[in-house]
Amino acid sequence: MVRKRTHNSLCLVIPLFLITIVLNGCQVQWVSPYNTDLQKTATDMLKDVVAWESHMRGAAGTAAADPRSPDVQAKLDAWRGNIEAMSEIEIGIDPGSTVCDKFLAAISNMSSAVINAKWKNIPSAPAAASSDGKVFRHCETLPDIFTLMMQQVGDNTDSKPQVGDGAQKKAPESATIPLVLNQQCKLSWLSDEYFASLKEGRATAGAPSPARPAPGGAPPPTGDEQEKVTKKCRAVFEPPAGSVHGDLLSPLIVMLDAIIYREGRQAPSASK
Amino acid sequence: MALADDITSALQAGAKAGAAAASTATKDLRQDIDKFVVPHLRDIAIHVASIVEKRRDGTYTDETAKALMDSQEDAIQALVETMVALAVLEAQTIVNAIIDALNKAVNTALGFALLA
Repeated sequence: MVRKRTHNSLCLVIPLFLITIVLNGCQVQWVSPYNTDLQKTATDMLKDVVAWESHMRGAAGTAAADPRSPDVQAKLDAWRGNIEAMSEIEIGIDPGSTVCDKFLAAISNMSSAVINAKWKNIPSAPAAASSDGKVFRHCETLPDIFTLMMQQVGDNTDSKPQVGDGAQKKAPESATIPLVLNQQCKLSWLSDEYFASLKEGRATAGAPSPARPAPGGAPPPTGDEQEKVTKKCRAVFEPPAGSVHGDLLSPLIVMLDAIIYREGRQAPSASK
Repeated sequence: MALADDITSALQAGAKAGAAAASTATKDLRQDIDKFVVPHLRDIAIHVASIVEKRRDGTYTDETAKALMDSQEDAIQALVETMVALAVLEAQTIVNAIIDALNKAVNTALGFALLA
């Protein structure tokens, strides 16, 4: 019964889709066209991410790799800026709501109807039947990728590592990179005040201060402790055997690669 | 009768153009999977194994392992979304090839450029 209804709906949707296109009589644009700036920003950011990963392998276990370090915060801020810039470029070239989106929505609704009908008798399957899952609603998927990238670096409100106000401020929850740095690279013997003063000192003098325990902070580490902390932090940046990037930054690199690959496919010089 | 022939020719031209574009699209998408998706999926599998191993030996905390696993899932989502966009791009190319061929055939039949 359900199958027949779905079949009938498909028979209606596909011809309507084709007729709409042909009646328009002009070229269709369902995904954002190639954009040089978008490709360049993604390529530059990829280079920066790879370089930073290499730098962090060497800096692991020092104040320079601590998430409260002004350099680390500046790097994450710069990446947020890059993602926002790419998002802005995309908004400017996005084809908006298209007949492709309507087609996709119709297909998604039909799929949901089939899934609902198929799974409704199975009590343990509400999630599978839910229409709130990750269903594509827009043929242009770049905005989704930017959202995923932002989840890596965090937006400007939720992911600043705490400096100065310690436990009173909510810990970063959703952004992966700040959260993992807090877990793996935070040096317990250096206080928030130390990093705050480092930031202030840089702002006034522009010179880096040596990493030292702040007065009132935890005692300096023993050699063993230092080694343990270094290993723990370096682990997220070291590539596992068979890979070239560490566990922390590899997803962001995949996302940037996805943008670059896609733009490369659309580039005027791309071989077909 | 001549008009019917012209329309038939136009439709044939459109179908031919569509078939040619579809053939290229199939090749392109297969290449995308081989060159882009498969290597990245292999890399993601390596990272998932690495995260599990480092959690087991205590290098990663529970929170770290969970966050890193979620990130790998996001990377898979980005790959799938990119493939969706590339497939839509190919569909767009096929539709535009058909429209182009139809437009040309109709304009030729009419003797003036009705469709741009």
